[in-house]
Amino acid sequence: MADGEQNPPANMAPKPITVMDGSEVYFRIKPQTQFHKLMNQYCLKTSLDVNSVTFLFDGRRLRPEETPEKVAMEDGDEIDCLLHQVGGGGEDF
Amino acid sequence: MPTQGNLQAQPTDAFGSKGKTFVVNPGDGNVLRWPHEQGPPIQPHVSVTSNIKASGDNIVAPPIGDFNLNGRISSSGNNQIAEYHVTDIQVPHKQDDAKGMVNCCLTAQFIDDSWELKKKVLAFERLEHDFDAASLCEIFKRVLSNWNIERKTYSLTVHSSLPNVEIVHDEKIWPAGIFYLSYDKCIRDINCMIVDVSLKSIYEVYEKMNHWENKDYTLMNVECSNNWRICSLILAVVAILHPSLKLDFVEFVYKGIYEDTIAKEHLDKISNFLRSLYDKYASSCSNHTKFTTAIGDTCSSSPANADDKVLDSFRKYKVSKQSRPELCQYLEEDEGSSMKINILNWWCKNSSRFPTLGMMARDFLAIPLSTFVSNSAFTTEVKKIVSSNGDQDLKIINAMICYQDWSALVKASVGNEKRDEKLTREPRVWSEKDVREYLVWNFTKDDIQHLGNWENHKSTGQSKVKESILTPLFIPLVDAIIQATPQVYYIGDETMDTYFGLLKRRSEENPNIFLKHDYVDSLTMNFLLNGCEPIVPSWITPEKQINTCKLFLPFCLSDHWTLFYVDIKYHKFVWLNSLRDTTEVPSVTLKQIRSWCENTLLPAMGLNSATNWPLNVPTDIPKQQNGIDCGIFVMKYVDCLTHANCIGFPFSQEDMPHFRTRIFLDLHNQKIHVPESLQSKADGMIF
Repeated sequence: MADGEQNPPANMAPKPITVMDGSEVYFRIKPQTQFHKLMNQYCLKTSLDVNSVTFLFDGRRLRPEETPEKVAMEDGDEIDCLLHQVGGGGEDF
Repeated sequence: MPTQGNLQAQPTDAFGSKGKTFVVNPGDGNVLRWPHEQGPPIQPHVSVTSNIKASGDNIVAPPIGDFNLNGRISSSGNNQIAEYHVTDIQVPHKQDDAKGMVNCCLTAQFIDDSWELKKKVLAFERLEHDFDAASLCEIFKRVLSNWNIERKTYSLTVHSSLPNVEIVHDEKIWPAGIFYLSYDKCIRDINCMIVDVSLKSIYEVYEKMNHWENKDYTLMNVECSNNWRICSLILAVVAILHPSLKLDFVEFVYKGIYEDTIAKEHLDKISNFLRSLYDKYASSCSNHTKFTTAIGDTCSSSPANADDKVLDSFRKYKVSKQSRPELCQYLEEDEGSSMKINILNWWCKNSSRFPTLGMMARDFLAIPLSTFVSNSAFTTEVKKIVSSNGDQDLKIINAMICYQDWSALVKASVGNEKRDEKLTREPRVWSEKDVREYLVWNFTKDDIQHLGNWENHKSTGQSKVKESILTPLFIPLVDAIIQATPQVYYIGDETMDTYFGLLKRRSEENPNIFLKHDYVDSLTMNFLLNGCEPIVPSWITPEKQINTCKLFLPFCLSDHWTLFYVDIKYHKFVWLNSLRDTTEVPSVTLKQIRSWCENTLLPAMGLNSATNWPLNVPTDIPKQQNGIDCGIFVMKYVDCLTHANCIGFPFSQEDMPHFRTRIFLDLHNQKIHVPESLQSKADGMIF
């Protein structure tokens, strides 16, 4: 169960999500829990549209249906959250 | 996992019960191929179990639990040389139980079919400090039989600081038919690596120390039966095999040392040795008859002057009268006395004229002069491994050292430029026309059906791919829409990343058609450009990136996609920008990316020497003529760049509607189209 908490209890597995502005949010999540719970929680907390962001772990994009177990995540690993980007040719055109 | 060319390494033992067993393939370019070898190349089989953890951060080899070196070589040809020598590596041992041990590396040296000198580590061993020749011999025999190259071993060079060096020369202990050499004691101060100038260098040393040792010089004494007799003979033979020195030089040198009568005795010994060697080679060389035709050719092509004709015939007669026509012909020819000649090149060109001598040269020129100089680059690496793993099982160290040598990682980390030449087997060679044909490949009936289905049931979510990824590609290009809301055509990072993932998979699935490459997610780049230091993904490791030719780093800056890439093979960084106006290069951005590559990304791949690679910004590339297609250009730049040997980008703005549809289909099918005809064509070309 994803559980958004600013200060994780010491004996649990914290999963910090680093945001691009440098702030960090800690989560604890069970190895079998799918990431979409965590993603939704995070977006709720930070008032972001879940479709406008991507979560990166180990250089890969996390899919909502994946679990920490599947991507070999360990205690204290960081997930990066980034806004989507689009490009066509610049505003100069 | 990508298949690696013609490697057929298999675990030779059943370790499966202990844990996960997998096989380490050495890089394709490092398969040890012996001259004239028809059968499968020799290569180490490394069986690895994952339950042992290596200590030390500088170890790039995976943790290795059990290790088995096994060479496979077919039995054709018997003129190969494998050179073994023991290198004494002084390692400070932390613990007492390891004291008094001698570390040694056994290395094979040989000249391959293209007349290049090659060297490979066969085994790493640890001996008791006071080991004797018998235990050394035991090791040699075991390693040779492990690799199955007993019969292909021609000489054995040992470190002369061995305690019982005299016994090393006791021929009873050793298998027959192999020369045992030990030069080190005599020529420590000679700083030359390839044996082609050795006699000359030794003579120079002799001249320098003329004052105190002018009567007898052990290394050039072939008379008495001292330990150096064989060494001296081999030095002389090597000098004779140098096309600009030959027998005259040997004569000159010996007459410089000895009085005329004594010199003559030495020279007789040498020429006897040479002749007996030659006869041995000639009898084993079944195609020596070729030589007579070779002479015929030479003669007929010479000036057709009447006098010359007579002389030629006379020479031919004279030569054929002699019992060793090839040897005489070689010794008579005058090549000039330039020392700049590359001896291996010379033999490469001329071995067809002198097949027997060519075989001799292939064997003799590969004999290492010293166990010191020839191993210095590797020694550092070995020391590093041994000192950080001193307590480990010898088998693990052995495996690590051999693995490093064979996987070319050592070469990369000591900055050996040669890595590039053998970096990868070039897949298919693509001409620009071929690439063009591939890029604008017509849609098949299935493709058109997919397109129709998508149009009709767009919202039913048939595809596994997110709709947002596909939509921008599907909207027909209409000028009015482009003018009003260009954003609907913009390519998002998810589209880009998915497509790059497919390109990577395409190369992995068709290694004989497309170049091996990798990419970094555009959002990771975004992370970097925002001033954060991204974590290097776990798959960027030397083992996984072996043979990777290019590393792509697409990024999006102010709504514009461009492509930065590292050309690992040709040592350069390149930035491709599809906008017409490239005068305003965001130099800060490029500097940022470049320094991340130099300092973090490439070192993680085992490449530490990327600091001086130039950054190219080519301008003669296809450019976009509108404000929406930069993403498509980036994707297609990469598509072209993963075609081996394709220099240009054979497409233009006009192809964009086709490309959009093609990319749409590729993403929709979760697979980039590779026409079947192409697959079979490529197979035919490679195998």
